[in-house]
Amino acid sequence: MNRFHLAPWIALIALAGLAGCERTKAPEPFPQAAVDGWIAAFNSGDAPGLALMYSPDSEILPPDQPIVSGYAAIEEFWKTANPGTVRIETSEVETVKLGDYWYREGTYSALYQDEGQTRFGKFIELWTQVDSNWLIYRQMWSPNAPPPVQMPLTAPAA
Amino acid sequence: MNRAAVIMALAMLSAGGCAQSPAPEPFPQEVADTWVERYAANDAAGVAALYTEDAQLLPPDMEIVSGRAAIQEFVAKTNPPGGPAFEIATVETLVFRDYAHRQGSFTVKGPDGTSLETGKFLELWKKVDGKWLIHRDMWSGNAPPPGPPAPDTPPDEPA
Repeated sequence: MNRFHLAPWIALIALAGLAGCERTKAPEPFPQAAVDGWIAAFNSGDAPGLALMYSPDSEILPPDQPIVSGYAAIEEFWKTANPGTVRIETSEVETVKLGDYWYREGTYSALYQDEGQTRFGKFIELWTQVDSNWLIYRQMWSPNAPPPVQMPLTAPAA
Repeated sequence: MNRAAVIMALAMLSAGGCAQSPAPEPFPQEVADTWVERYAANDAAGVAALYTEDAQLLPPDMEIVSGRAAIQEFVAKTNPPGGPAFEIATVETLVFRDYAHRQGSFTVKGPDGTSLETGKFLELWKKVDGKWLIHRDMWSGNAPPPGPPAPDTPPDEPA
């Protein structure tokens, strides 16, 4: 047997075998562009745009409120929660690829421009891919302190 | 050995070198059930032992609680003997190789069985040395916590 003729076959089979191995896939980068899009839409108070960044079966789990499910309800939620007056920044973000999902966690600071106050909190998210778009599947967050007590308006003096 | 046999053998060896994806495991519900039992028994150390060493609790209106020792302290403080009972329901689980996701709901019950609070949670579980443990645990109520009681209305106040 001519070993020089066998060598290309060996190389070809080894490469084909390796190509079929999941472990040889390059690590998939987290879809940061999708997160950047979410933050841009949030900070501009674009509730319809925000709603499009959730999967059809997504749920958001806000503090002190029941779960919000589906595009229309999520759009309505963000319209009320941020009518363009809150600016958010995230930090200490970590991501883990979980099968077909991405898990993301981190902390946030939310500047309430009408109050001139910044509130801090934490969040966790699960992202899923739908038709090549990365969308939020689950999103939960909570502040690190109770919201400031709203002082009752004082009746104007007669 | 003829050439075809050599090629066949190499193909099998090459394919055998691949790490086959294991079938997904079921969610470790028995560990979740143990959490409920230990919590009900006010066993803070036992509850904390069901978390990874670097686990985090993400409670509402509080800072993140990091590490098993701090989690034990948190559970001991927030779940004293005689406290309200918890009912927990698993709503969704996704199990991956070394991680699992769980979504659920909870009800806090008073001594007479009445519902004091309902809420929801997300958890990230992690397999460490073959054991499933909670790695992240976040929850919140479905309504704001009750505020201070409203002042009594004077009986002669006009409507």
